[in-house]
Amino acid sequence: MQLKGTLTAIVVGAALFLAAKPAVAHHAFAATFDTSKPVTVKGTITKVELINPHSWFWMDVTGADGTTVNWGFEGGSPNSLIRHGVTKDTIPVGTVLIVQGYQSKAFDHKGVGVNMTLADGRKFLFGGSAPGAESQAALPTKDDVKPTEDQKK
Amino acid sequence: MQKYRGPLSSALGIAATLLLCAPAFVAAQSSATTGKAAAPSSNSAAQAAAKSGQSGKAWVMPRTADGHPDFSGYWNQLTFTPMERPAKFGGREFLTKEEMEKVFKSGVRGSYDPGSAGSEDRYGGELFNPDSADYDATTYGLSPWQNGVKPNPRTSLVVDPPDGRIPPLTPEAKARIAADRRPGGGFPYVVDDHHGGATVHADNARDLGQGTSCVTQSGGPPLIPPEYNAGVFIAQNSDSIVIETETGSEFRIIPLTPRPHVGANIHQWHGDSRGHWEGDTLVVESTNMRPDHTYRNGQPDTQKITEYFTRTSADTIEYKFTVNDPATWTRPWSAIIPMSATTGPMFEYDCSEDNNDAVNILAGVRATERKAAEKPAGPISQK
Repeated sequence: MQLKGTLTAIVVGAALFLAAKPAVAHHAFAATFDTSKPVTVKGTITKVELINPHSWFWMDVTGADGTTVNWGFEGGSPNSLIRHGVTKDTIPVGTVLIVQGYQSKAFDHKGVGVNMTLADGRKFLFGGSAPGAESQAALPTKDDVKPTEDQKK
Repeated sequence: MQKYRGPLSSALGIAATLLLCAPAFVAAQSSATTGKAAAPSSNSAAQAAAKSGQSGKAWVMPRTADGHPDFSGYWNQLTFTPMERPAKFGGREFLTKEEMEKVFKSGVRGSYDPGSAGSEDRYGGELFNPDSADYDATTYGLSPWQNGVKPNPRTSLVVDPPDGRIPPLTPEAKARIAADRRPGGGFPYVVDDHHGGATVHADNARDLGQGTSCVTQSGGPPLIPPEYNAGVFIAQNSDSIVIETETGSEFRIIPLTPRPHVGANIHQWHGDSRGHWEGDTLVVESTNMRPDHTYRNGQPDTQKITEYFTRTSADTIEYKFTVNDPATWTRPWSAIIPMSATTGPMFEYDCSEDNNDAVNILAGVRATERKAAEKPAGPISQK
C-alpha cells in the first residue's frame, strides 16, 4: 500500500483505515475520541511525553497547502508502551512516522493512536485503549514513511 | 484537583524504603527454605501442587528466614476469566481442557486488541465486539504471549456461592448503589454499552471520579486485575508485607504482628489491613474503607474483606478473597484470582491529576452535546 507522493500529510477515510468500534470504552475513550473519524497522519515528531495514565506523542504535520500543524496523539501508559517495545529513546524528536488512530471529538488536531510505522519499517502499537482497526493490508509500509521532497528541504 | 497525600504519606515513605532494599532482601529470603510441604487451601491449589510433584522434580516452598512462605517478587494478576459465571456454563465450575485453551488463546489475542476476531471467548464473551478487526502481534515485534499468565480452568472467578455468581444485593444496597456516581453504580460518569457506545455524564472534573483523576486507581482490597498493567510487587519481612499494584503504583503496608484495627472513625483509601498466618496461608483482614472508595460500592461501616494468599507452585500464588458486607449483599461471597510469577522491574506508574484527560474528556462531552443540540428535532413518535 503506497501513499501518493503529493499526499504528504493527512489521509482520512476508509481506504487506509477500517472504521471499528471499541469493545471496551476505556474511562476516557468513549468520551474523548470519535470512532467514526479514523485518521492516518504522516509527520515529524516534535515531543514525546511518557506520562500516566496516557502518553502523548506530538508531531508536525505539513498539509498539501504547505501549512504545518502540530498534532497530538494519545497512547497508553509508559508501562504498556515499554512492554510493546517503545521506550523514551525509541522515537527521538525529528523521527518521521505515520500514525493511524482516531480523531478527538473536540479538537481538530488531537487523536488517539492505534499504531505507528517508522521509516525503517518498524511498527509499534500505542499501547492504549484504542481498538485495533486496521487490517494487515491497510498498514503503511516503510516506503510510505520516506521523507517527501518538502520534508527533505 | 489535588492528589490525596494525607495519612498515607508516611506509609508510602516506609514502602519506598522497603522497596529500595527489595532486591537484596528478596534474594536473601528466597534462599531460606525449610523444605516443609505446602498446604494448599483449595482444590485447584491441590491440583497445582500435585502437578508440580508429578513433573518429577518436587517443588519446595520458598520460605523466609522465620519459616513462613515467601511471596516476595513480581507477579501478574491478568486473567481472561469473567468475575461471574456466564449462564452458558450452568452449574459447571471447570472448563474442559479444550475450552480452557480456547479461552486462553482468545485472551491473548484480546490483550492486543480488546475486540479482535478470535477474542470472543475471553471473559465469557461479554466484551467481544464483532465489528473490530484484529492484530497480528508479531507485526509489532511482540511475542504472542509475554506476561507469564497461565490458563485458568475455572468458569468464573467467583467460587462461592457455588453458582459462581455474586449474591443478590440487599434492598438497602440497591437504592444506595442506584444513586452512586462511581463505576458499578447507577449513575457513573461513563456507561459502556460494550458495543462501542457509551453514555457520558461529566459536567466538571470532579465528575470524572477518583480513577480518571488519578486519586486512586487500584491497590485493593481486594486485588482486582485491570485488563493491562496488572502487575503486583510484593516485599515481605517478619513484621509486615508490602503489596504494590502496578496501575497507580499503589501500596498497602500490612502489619503481620498482632495489633488492633484503627478506630471506627478512621477511613482510608485501601482500608486498614491486618495480616496473620494460618498454616502456610497468609490471611489479611481489611476494614475501615472510605465511604467513597468501597469495593463494589459496598457499605463502608460493614464491609470486611478477607484475603488468602497461598503459594501453590514455583510460579503461582492462589489469591482468594472473601467479601463480607451484610448491608450490601445477602450473603458473603468469595473469588479466586491466580497470580503468576513474572519478571521485573515494574516501572513506577505515577499518575498525577490527569489534567490532559480531564480537558480532553470534558471538551469531548461538550462537543457531543453541541452536536446533539444542532440536530433538527425529529418527528414525534405516534406510537
